[in-house]
Amino acid sequence: MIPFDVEYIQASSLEDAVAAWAETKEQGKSARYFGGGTELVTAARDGKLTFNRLIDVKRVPELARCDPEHGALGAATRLTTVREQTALPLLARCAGGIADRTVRNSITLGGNLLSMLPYRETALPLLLFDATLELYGPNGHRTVAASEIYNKRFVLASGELLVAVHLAEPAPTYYERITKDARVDYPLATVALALVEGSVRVAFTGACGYPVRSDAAEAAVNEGSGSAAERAGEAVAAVTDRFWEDIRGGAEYRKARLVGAIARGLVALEDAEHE
Amino acid sequence: MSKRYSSDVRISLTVNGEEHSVLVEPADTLLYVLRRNLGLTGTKLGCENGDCGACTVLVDGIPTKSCYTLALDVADAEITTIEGLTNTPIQAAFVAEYGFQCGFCTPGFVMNATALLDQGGGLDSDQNREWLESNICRCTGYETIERAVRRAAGDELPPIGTGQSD
Repeated sequence: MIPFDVEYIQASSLEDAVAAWAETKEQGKSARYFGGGTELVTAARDGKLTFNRLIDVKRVPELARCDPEHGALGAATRLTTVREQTALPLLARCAGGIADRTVRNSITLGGNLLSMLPYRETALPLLLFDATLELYGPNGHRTVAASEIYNKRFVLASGELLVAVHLAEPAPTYYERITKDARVDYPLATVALALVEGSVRVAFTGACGYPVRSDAAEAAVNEGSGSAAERAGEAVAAVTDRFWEDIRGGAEYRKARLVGAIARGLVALEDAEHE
Repeated sequence: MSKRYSSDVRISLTVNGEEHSVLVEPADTLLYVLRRNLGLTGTKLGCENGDCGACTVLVDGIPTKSCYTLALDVADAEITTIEGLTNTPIQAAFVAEYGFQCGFCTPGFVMNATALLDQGGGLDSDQNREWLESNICRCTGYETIERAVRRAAGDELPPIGTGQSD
């Protein structure tokens, strides 16, 4: 349970949610928008996070809608639903790698994209295909390209809500998720590649402290003349972000696993191109 | 219309088909309310972090870890706990297949398996693995648990001990 007093609001509209957030701020208190609870409740229990108010936004119609056939997913769509839809296969696979199935029944797409944890695996297709994000905040609605507000994480304005994601996956993709041991674990690296008009795009997470799409890595795989393994090695070497070290793996190990996954992805996409 | 809850909230919680009037705090998890307010201690407090699955219950038929689910969030849902199952095929199959040893994880596994079977699953190994990996068992090694699910789904398994490894 949450080990401190908290006020809980079930918002029924975007306006109500943002008004509750503004009211909390005016009172000098802290609020969090709330979805599945997997992160906020456990972090609070663990003493890693405090807040005065939870504003549950799952019942807001704009967040609850789900229309993957038209590329539109409300931020409150559960990851199980994201995993089981077939219109956006890369997003489905990225969602399916996260946590376990029962937890995915609770985690929302918005919760994963804006997670405090470093992995945020559903961000990969959004970065590869530059999805459109629908936001709502104290200044009303705005629609932005994912790349426009991405700086190691999606940076929203104060009090702003992620309402929905609009994504198209118009190209062949490759996905690989590498864990140290069990499948249900945080990834050493999750890699997503896409072949768009003859050019390979590369995004990964787990290896650094946040999802990465690197122009330098993409230049290396697209402009290099070596084998897939050589180009993958050059791509990883070109990444300037700091590679992560933890009990699951050191930086060099993560790099090595990342190179392998990118190389396999390049081969798979080249095969797809020739089919 | 948005709903606001601050403290001492009286809610009606439907658990195993029975409506209960309970006094909760917004900070209370469903797990806490089931065990403390309703005395339904079959739902176990394990890791309290969403990892082990011992606290799994069904919320409108969907397996849900009650340790991070706020009671207020599911006040309008139908909750099913292990106490709501009596003489079901999956319970009999757990016994027949020795699907437990210490038994601490069993209620969570049984609830998850119940939902899987309710959706027509249980015979597909990949699907079973995807569902059952939501729960952790430190005793059995999982094989007998999957056998229990397969048996409950109608798979006519040879008795344990007659496999090729013997």
